[in-house]
Amino acid sequence: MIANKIKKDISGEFSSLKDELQIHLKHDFDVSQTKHFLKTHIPKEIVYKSEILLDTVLNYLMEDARKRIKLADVKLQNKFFDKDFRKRVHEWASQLENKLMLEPDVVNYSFDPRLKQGLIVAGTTFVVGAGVTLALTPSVVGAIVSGIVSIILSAIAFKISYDKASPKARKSVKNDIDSYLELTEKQVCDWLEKVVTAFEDDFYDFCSSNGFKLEGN
Amino acid sequence: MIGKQYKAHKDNVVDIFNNYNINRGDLNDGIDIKFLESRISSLKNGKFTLAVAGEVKAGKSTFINALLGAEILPSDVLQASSAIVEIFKSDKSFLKVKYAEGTEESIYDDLETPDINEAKERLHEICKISDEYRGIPTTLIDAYIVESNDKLKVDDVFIKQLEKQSGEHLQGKESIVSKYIEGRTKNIIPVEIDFGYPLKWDFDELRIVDSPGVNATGGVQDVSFGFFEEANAILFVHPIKPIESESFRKFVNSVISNRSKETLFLVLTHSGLYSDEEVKRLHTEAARLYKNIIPENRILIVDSLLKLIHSDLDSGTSVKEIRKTENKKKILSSYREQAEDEERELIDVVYESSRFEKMFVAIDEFSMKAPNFQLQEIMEKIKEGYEEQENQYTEKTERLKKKKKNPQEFDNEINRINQALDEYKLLTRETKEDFKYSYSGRHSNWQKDIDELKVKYPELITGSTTVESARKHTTDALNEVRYKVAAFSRELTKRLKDVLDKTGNSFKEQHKISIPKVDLEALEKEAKKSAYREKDQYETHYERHWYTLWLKETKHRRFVGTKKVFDDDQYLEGYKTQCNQAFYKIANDLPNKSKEVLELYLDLFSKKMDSVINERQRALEKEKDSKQSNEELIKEIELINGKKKAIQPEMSPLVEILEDIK
Repeated sequence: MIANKIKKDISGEFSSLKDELQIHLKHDFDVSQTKHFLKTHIPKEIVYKSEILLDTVLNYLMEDARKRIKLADVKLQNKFFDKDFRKRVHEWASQLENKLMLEPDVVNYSFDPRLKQGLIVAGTTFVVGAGVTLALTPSVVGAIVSGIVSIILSAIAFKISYDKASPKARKSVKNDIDSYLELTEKQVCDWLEKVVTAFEDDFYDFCSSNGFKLEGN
Repeated sequence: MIGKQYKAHKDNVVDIFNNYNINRGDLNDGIDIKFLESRISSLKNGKFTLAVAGEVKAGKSTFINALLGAEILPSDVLQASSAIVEIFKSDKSFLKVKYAEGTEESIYDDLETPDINEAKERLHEICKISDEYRGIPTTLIDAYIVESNDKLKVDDVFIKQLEKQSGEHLQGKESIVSKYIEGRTKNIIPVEIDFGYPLKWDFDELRIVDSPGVNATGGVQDVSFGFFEEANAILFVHPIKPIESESFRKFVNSVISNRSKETLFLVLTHSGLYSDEEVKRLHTEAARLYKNIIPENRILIVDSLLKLIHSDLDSGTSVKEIRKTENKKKILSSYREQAEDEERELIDVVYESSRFEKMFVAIDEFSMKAPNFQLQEIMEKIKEGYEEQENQYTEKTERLKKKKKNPQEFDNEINRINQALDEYKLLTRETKEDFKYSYSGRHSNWQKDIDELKVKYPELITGSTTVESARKHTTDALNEVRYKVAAFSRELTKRLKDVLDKTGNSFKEQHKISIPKVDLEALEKEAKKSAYREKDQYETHYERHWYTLWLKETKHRRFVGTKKVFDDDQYLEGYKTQCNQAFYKIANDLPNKSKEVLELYLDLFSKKMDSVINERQRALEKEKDSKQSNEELIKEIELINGKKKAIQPEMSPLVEILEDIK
């Protein structure tokens, strides 16, 4: 139930991100400014969305846990609130080994011979998988690697090939972003599934150690 | 004068607070006294800023002098007002000037030379510009000198650039521009001027800010823009004829922020030159012309010169002396006739015709809303505190009476109250989790609001066609975020109050106990303080090396290296990107920062609530354990009743002020 709800939420957030990015990709956008901007903007947006999704899933989990603990006596209910499961699971998700890692090392770039030509002219080496360290604020997101750099490279290539971003160039950049987001979405989904399991295990331990038998278990 | 009524209320509020502080003693009435003290202190130190804007030569200086009731700014000479001039009340005149080069100068009035006001004279000297420069945009040129690292080069391209920005025709004036630039260096261009003067008004907090002139296209420099943002009211001065002003229209629509727009007044001057019918017609015309940008009640009409004449007459200057000033002499004659015909005092006729009284009333009514709200909040807190004190005194006397009558029943009652208080603790914890649920995650209205902002403003910024409109949209965006932040914590307090009232009332009914109280506003402030930046700034990284724009091409060119050339389009695109980045940074911070505030707020709330409950439980146990004779109990009841009676005389002036402010 919770898993289905959160899947729908993840899909909703990523689709709205795609829409929001169109603001910067419409009209005759300035390639050199936009490329610099998107390079950091997209990862930051993913961090932002992931945090919101984590809170969303914690809301579902807490709502469910409250319903189940309601049958316990006042003392245990108080103890449940004082335990602060939200905070505990949030802290769990921020630990290095549990952080969300975004590593879309395979991005299928739109094929266009002129793109290749552009890359050669630009003197850039198209390296997929090369790490990039972004200056991110401490968050539940651990690392964002490579994919976004490649998108930017394609934009530079088009800048050189066509001098000005042609409609086709813009379409290609858009496709690259879409592929990147699609892969990232899957990773966010897997990560949140782990969060759900962690919460449920923690809550179950709490109830058993306090001698409270959960219904349905 | 502006703020007179406010000042009276403010003084009363400070007195009422002092009495409250004494009456309250050590009793915990749910009001955070330290927080209330800090509010009183910010009330005492508050500033009230009126920023004056208007085109160069629109009569701004005369208007400010009229407003101040003293001829402080030079109005008979061309004023080089490239600097912000801030004027405020002080015991004796003093002047502090900051120059573009970074040096500062301070001058105090020498009291041993009563006939000469050194500070005022120096101000005139600094602001004065030779009349020969009347036809060129000196303010704009000064700004270029300040921004440029090299000596400015005057040629066609430069002149065209000046024309484009100032909206003035400058062809054929190259030599006069060159001469002006030659004599202007950064060490003599003032950028900030503070002027203290023994003004006659009562409202000590009032500060008048004279901003550099708005250019013909409505544009203003960043420094003026910043002052408009902070001002309590902006007065845009424009002569009543010709009534149409393109600069005003652009100033409102695409330069100042939406917040500033809400505080804007259009002040039409020189009304004394026209008949009443004509002034009325022009007022109607102005209301029609600007109906989409400013409400009619914020279009005011005055005559600054008549107000200055009134100030002269008021300070005992003879008509003969006044007539020595040519422009005053001209306007005075018809009003002397009117006074004679109507058999009234000249001073009254002149004051009435200056229309300043009406203007003061209008500005006063509008500008006092926010400070009055501040007074109201303080008064309501004190009232709440007194009510809680009365409540606690009543409950305690009831318990003591019970103790006197039947000690066993009294013990049972204490145990019952203590148990009920434990249950109340659980209720507050449930409320805490409800709040976390409704303010986080993608389905919360708060999150939806943030996401709407994130679509609205980047779209406006990206679609901007000028730097000024990008600046406006970014400022609007930041203001809206700031507004949302303030509204967020306010809403938390309101909702928490509502929930506690609702659950508290049924709890009170069920358990027959008074509900423990905490000062939610104080918690709100404390939580907010540690989580939000109050001010965010943004800046562009491009330097305006615009003077390289007019490099001339020759037929025989050879490459000698590269030079940075100012590119308008690139500047705009870069500026927009910077603005978007600044906005996203703040908007993306909002969910986490608000979560921080929420967590902090709710933690403070439960800590404070637990402490109030525990304190009460301890006090009840102490009451239970204390052995008192009947005489001692009677004495204590009398003492409490005396304290309760002392509250009454304090409540009536408090209620009166509250009604008056509302």
